[in-house]
Amino acid sequence: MIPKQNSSVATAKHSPLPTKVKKKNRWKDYLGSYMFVFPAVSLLFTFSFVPIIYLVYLSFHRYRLPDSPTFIGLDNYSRLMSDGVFWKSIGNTMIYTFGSMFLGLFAALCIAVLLNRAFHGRRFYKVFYFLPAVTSDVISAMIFLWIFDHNLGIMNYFLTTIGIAQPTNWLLDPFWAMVILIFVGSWRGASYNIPIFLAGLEGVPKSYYEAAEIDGANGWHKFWKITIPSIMPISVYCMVMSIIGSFQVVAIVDVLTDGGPRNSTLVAIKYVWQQSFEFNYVGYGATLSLFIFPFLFLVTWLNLKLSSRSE
Amino acid sequence: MAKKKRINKIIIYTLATIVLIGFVGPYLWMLATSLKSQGDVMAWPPKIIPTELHWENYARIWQGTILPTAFMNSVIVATIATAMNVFFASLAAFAFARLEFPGRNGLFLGVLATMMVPAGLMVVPLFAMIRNIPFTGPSGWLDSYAGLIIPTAITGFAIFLLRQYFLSIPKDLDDQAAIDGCTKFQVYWRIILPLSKPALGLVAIFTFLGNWNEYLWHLTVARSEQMYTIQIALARFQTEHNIEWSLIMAGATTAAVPMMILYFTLQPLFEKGLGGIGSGMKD
Repeated sequence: MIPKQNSSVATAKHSPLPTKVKKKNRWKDYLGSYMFVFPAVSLLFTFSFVPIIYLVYLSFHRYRLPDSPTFIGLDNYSRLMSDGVFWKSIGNTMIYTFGSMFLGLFAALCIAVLLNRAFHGRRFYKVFYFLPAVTSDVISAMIFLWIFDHNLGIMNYFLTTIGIAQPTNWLLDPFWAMVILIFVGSWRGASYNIPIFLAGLEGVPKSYYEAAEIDGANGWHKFWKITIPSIMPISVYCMVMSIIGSFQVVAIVDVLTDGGPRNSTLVAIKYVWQQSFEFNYVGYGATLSLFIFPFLFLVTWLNLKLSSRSE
Repeated sequence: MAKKKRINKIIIYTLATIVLIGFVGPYLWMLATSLKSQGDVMAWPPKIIPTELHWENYARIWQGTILPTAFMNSVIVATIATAMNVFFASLAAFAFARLEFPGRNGLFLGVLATMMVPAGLMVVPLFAMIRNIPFTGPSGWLDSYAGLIIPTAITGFAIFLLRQYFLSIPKDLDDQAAIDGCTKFQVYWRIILPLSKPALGLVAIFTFLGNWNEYLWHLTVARSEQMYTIQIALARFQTEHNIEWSLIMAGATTAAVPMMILYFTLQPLFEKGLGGIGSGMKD
């Protein structure tokens, strides 16, 4: 009798206590388990799923504080369709997102390849390369605002010393303002992605390269035929994460250009924020958010799908 | 051959140093500017190194500006959010990894799904929600610590990451402890938590980092200067003082330093975190 009970405790992990008498205990047991989950899950679900439902609700309402929402049907949606500024903000966001993604990932890959070579002090370099990733968007943007300052910025000083007589006023030029936003975004992005790429590169088995060398492959060949395919999964991961992050950019824009000049750097989330909180059209802001939602959802879903497939 | 190798080395070090200047240079420039007199800041050609160090710039931003309050607010917000996330997420992760109960898989799927909700788009409905929280007065949790902290404190990612880690701890330990008469909470507290310090540290660091650097949500919740967090205050400070670059850079340095200290002291943990993010999904 005694040995039997012992073994049931040791082996049947999922229901350590035999049936019947313990049925009441089992529910007490479950209740205990739910208490572990309850605080985190209730908070998380309340502030993740309820807002989505609320978003749908608000999008059919005019909501101007301090009044309560009033139902207006599809008015917000028809307003959205003819809202040229919104479409411009979407376009700006796309330019920024793809620009900073390509530039940032390309730079990160190049630097990771460099770091992947054996040389003394590479650890030192690696540690410092990550610095921009731990400082905020606001601080990064402030530093570059100062560097690109028209009158006193060190960038214009460099440019005049190499003979460019009158450098432009970067952030007041619609084209250059966007270029600088992309530059600052990719600067942070590259810093963040270098260690991830490096981990990928270090994970490529040395034997692949050795085998290729025996077959007479040169460095370039090895890079295209072995390195690039091996780090493809990680690159896709970084790409998707970069799209998700960049699409929601606000802080860099707020500090550097505030959406100007002439809305040329007004990005989608900034426009949503403006409509909702500066112009007090909270309902319309919800409609805009809801409209963008499927796109970002798709990208994120794709990300989870891709990363679970490589398991 | 040896000569070729040497040239190779030189190229590598040159490139690595150029990149280093690209990533660290801007911070040194920030630091240098923060210690300059107004005269040095206005000097043309720009002075790379200040003629004399004006530490009083830091005293000036520390007294009579919104930055000290904002700095303290950020410390409070980031610390409480980190404590909440580490504690509650690990409790939940423990249950998801090691306890059996009806609906467990469904709930965990829900947790994973929260990771797909884009934060930037949730700002408007979250604002409306916390403004209308019952029994909290006309503006709800707006302009309060509760509003700054609670809606974003718990992250699905923390639960996910901790669960993965807890799954890797041998289950025999639990059974052993159960035989010894431990309650589930004791198993969690005395066995699982002490064995999971690296994972808990990782969650703590990234939660703190995320909250310290948060901009959009804090911008939405903090209505009065008293509730500004450091990023919001910096952005405002910059528009108000846009000529006094030494002060602006002193403010930026002050806000950057805590994260840098954390980064340099806990560097291996940061690295592990990124490796985990990059490849953890893979294995």
